[in-house]
Amino acid sequence: MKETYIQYDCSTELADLISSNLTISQMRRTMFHVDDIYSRVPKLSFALQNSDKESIYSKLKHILESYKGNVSWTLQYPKTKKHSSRKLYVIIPLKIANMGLLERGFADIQDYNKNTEIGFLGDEYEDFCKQAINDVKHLSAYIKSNMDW
Amino acid sequence: MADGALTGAITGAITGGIKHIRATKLLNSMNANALDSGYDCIEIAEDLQSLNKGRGGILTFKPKSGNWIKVMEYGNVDEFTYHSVYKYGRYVIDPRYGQLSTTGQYISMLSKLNPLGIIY
Repeated sequence: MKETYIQYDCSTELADLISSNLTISQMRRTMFHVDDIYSRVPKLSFALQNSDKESIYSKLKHILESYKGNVSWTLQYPKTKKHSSRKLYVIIPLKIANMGLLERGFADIQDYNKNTEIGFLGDEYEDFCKQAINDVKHLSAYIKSNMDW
Repeated sequence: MADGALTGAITGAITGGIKHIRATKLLNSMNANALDSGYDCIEIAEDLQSLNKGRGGILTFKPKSGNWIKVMEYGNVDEFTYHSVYKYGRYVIDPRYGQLSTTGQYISMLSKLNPLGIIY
């Protein structure tokens, strides 16, 4: 069942901040769905085109990991693969990054279901989604301030 | 119907059926890994084409106006800078859309989500 939780829609706030200050080649703008907040743990996938993108990724990762919110955040680097130039970076809760979903493939949907975010977090899943969503607005402000935007 | 025309019609139907089966298998093969947020749609499309021995092609959609194109994924609408899908025969194979569609059906779906227009 879909559930609406938030009163203030900040689902695109971080995407809009980054895309208005950097040159992006790809981005999924919505970190979560306002009218279906448990459809996934909030995260922002994107890739930059800036010539100094490697240093920007590094700085962003440092800023994210220094943020003290309801949950810990990080920038997940793409796994190395043949099309590595097209891989997406993901702003993601550290706990989810540590699941290693991006480092492994799945044999099939059953294999995924056993190892999915919901399966990993169990009873904690819905509360974790809410906690992470509640971080987004302040996390965006924190990034804006620390990136000098 | 002349023999040649009949043979052509039968061959066409068989080829179409084979493509439908192959497209369905390709769609199902990517169900789980497509859930990875770090897996870009164009990579999924390229990997599907590679799995299908280079057959078919890739369609990339962008918004005609504005910076974001709306796309249906797993029953919810997301916005992207661009969106790419694998096209094989008359089918578009987009594992995150979740159902096999003809190119016309898929473009119609995207056009409804993006009333200001899409380019591809």
